[in-house]
Amino acid sequence: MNRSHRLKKITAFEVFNYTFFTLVCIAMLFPLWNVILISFTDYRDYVLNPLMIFPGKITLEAYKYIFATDELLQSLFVTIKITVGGTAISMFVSVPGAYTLSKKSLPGRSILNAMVIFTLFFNGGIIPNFLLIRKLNLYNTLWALIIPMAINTWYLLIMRSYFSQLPSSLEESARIDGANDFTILYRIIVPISKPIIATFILFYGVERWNEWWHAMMYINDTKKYPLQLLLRNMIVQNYASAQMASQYRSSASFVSKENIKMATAVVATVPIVIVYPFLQKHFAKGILVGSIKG
Amino acid sequence: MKKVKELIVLFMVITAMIISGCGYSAQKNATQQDQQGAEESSKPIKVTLAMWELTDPDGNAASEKIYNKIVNDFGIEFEFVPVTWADSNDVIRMLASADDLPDVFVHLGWESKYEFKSFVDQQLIRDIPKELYSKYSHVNRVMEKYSYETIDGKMYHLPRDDRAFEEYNGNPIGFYYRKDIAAKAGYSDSDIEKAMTIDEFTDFLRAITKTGVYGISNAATVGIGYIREIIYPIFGYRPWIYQNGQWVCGDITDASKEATRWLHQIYKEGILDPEFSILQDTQLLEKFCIGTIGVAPYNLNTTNAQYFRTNFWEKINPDLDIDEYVGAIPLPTMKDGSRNSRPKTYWSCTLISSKVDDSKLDRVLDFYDWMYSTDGYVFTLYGEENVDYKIEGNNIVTLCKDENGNPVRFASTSTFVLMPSIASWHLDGIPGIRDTTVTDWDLKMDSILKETYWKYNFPVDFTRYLFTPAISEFDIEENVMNQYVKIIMQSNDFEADWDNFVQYLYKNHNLEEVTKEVNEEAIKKGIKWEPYK
Amino acid sequence: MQLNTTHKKFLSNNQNRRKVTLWDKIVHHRYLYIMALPMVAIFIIFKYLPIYGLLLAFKDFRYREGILKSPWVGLQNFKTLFGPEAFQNVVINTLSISFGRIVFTFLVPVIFALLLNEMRNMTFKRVVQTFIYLPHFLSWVIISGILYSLLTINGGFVNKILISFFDLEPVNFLLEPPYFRPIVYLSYIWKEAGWGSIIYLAALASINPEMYEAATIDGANRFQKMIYVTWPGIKNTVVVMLILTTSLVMFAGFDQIFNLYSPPVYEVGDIIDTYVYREYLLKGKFGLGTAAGLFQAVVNLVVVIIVNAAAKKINEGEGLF
Repeated sequence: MNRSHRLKKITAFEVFNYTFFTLVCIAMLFPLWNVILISFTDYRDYVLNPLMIFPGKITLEAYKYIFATDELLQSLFVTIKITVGGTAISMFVSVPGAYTLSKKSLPGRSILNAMVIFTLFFNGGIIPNFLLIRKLNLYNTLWALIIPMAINTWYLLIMRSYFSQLPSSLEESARIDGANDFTILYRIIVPISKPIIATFILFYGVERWNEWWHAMMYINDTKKYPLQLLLRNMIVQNYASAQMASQYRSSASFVSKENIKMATAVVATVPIVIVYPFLQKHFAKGILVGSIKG
Repeated sequence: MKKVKELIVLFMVITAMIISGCGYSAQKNATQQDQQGAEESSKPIKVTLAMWELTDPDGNAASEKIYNKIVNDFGIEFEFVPVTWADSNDVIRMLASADDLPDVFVHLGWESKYEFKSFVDQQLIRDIPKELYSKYSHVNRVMEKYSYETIDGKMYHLPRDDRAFEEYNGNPIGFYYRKDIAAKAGYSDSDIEKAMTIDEFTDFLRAITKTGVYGISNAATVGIGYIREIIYPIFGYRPWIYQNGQWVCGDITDASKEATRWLHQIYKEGILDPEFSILQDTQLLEKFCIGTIGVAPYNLNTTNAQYFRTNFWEKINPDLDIDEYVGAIPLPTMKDGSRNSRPKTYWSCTLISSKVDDSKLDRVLDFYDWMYSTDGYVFTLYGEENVDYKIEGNNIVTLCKDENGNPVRFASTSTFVLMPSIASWHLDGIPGIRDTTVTDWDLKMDSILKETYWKYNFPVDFTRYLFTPAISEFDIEENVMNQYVKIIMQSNDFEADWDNFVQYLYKNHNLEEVTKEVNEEAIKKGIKWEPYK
Repeated sequence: MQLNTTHKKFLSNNQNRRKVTLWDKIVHHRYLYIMALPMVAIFIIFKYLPIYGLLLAFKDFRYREGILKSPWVGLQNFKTLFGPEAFQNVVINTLSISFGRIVFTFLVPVIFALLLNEMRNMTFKRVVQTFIYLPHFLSWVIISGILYSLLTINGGFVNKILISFFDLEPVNFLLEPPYFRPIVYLSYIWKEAGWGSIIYLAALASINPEMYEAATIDGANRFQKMIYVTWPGIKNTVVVMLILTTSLVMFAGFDQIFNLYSPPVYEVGDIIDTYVYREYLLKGKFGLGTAAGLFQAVVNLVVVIIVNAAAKKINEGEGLF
């Protein structure tokens, strides 16, 4: 922008704006800080202390506890597996699919599009889906956490609208050179669409990372529990599993369930917090580009 | 062009993967079942088992010992489906919905009779025929003892027995209290450890609250949990009460009303911890040990007292002598001095999935026979004689030690902690023999329990075994509990809200029809009302 | 580089007199169809096949018989479903929470976007954006843990402040009905408002800057600019988002509610999905559960159609479809 902006005086509105967002940022971050705080503080101290913003005594007991059994790491690996595998499959299916849907000259395009949009507003519901997973023998497998939800219809539609906005000249000149649709997609469209592809890798990635509901319904082998489900069990039932409970029994010192919950929450959140700022510039641009026409 | 062909193949493969990812597991399941069918009777067979807190041996020496003994003596390789005390009900329900119940699992049984019956109706569990169990003497004894608990003449469960229940009746829930907090409130031990009326008890709780902590809290593991199980019976609650010439649903009688009113009162006064309806066992005990509540309802029997002492008190307050700080309060009496008791027997049993065939069931029964007897109990609890424990006179002395060198029972070092109780609670231990890991304090709690709670008769609730049309739909427990919580926490006009609650039961749960059927059945079966004595 | 013959037909429409048939088109685009195959397979298997399962709504499900052989009961399931007061209450809750969420939270991302747009310090703006997008990535499981530790009457941060600074009695936030829905809305804003502002920022960025300059020349102040330049620019986006949000009115956010609710607040917080989960899914009453699901889906579809038509009328023919 213009350098002259710096010389203008600051209006009341601007003061308000900056203050407002400073408060908003504090409000966004403080709850997270509170979680970290509790995970490092002796719970008794936290409860009995009037207002604690910085920890008095730092203790790593909670973290030692949750890493003592294999459970946390096991679940972490499960989550990594379904995030990486699931995102890959989702992208492999969504991108070409969205590209196809965006081709206006394709016969049957309107049928395909109608098929997709209809599912936005009408679906079978929890129980038919549950029975289907059983029928297909996907019950208690990690596939059940990847394939049925491989396509997020919203994402598909945004990708479609993005592809439909690309200038057709790109495609035409490639066709003259003898390329077919696969090559066009692979060699031309994808490289250009890096922002939007990065965006949806992030979106699908976060979806798979936060997966717990389907795991609760479809998986009963604790070795296959994703991290968020383990976390949920801890928060709701106050210990994750019989294995952790027996660990608790044999440990010499006291670790409050609250500490354990918070420590697990921190572990479940840290990867996202670390990865996300790097991808922020990509997805902001991607959403920008993909959503202008809605 | 080659690249394109590759891509085409890739897409075909992905589509195929999607469709076949479905079939893959089918094949796996099929081959597994084939294998099992083809096994000869001499090889050990896999049995999936779900019982609280039991997990795979995973290298644990004590667990391996027990596991191997079971493989060798009974030909069973257990595969554990992990469930905890807090989540076992939900896990079993999910597994039932998925038609994936473990072969052998622990369930509330008749305590949760509607679910139990639906398992039977939906053929999710199988019956245990007399031809199979009669050759095992202990199993036979227990099955005969509970032979009135059949559905259509068949036994669908393996009851959890306890010889101790033959002399004493009831459930071990009582009140622990903090002696130091009571002292601050102006009460000495002798004030408390005698029979108090409910009003004196309330004053005591009130005095505690004045010192700045909650008088009492609760663990809501099932419904509204412990306070439901102890407070309501104190006021005289039973599932069905005979008054004015007919049987009336316990939840709408004065007993229930007064109990709810009392709870509402102490909630309003700030005596009852506001989070009473969502706390778990562990949170309750943690609060008690940290000192933010004065009284905690919890199990007073030896096993549980010891569990509380070793897992909570000694970890949270390692420097404080439990006998100086924690005591037990006898059951309060009504204003007129009369005392009510708790109508309950055992509260869980073992169920067998319908996918278990006779030969597998036979082995399981063999194992259960061993566990019903003292032999199985002793082995899983204490280990091998002269290796893990020895008998010295009247004492059983453990030879196992924990990481800090303190003597600890064999079972505590394993991942099969509750296995000794899989078939029977053995609440009285081994008759005539004292376990030296049990301290005097543990026994003291137990004796208070027996003295003040267990001496009374308890009539069995006959409606538990009825499945007439209206009664079969009368699955109200959860809803009733939620209504109670609502009244306790939010009521501004108790009488009006209580009347609404009664109306709610009539309108939404067909109470009139149910009452009619209950009374008809009572007459048919000649059931008589037995007051507490 | 060779041209294949089918392709020729499309390129040189002047020179080639042969008509382009439907089959020609299909063959021409054959790779597109292949590309889309996995997507179509997933849609058919995992989104349309369960619709067949909706038949269960009219049957009494027996595990051993499966969907096909379970006995028909006609509309009995629906009669049983709508019988209890609890279900009617639950439907009302679902609608109330959905509409409440729209009323209280819909405009927040718009306001964020408008305010952020006015910010001139780019560094500050970027930092703020980083922070406000972050909560979106957390699952409701974690957020419920956070909320519990902040709001618990026994030592939660908020209550500590109430006691120390404001000298008030501590409040049992998560367990008292009057507070539950506000907590739902506020936590929803905390999680999604920042993220939701992205789409409006994108729309704002597409407004031609010359319009602003023209307005400045005409002497418009900041707020007049907002009304005459900014609002028309984002109006479409707002309408589309509003339709999309309203169209999910029967699904009041299972994930959030399930993680936040508990029995004391069932009367204001229990929604159709959580009720069905507890009363029907966990108890194996699949017929009833499916009936509820069918009811939800049908009502939702009707609502979508109505809202879309209404939006078209109000917004000069621009709707979702």
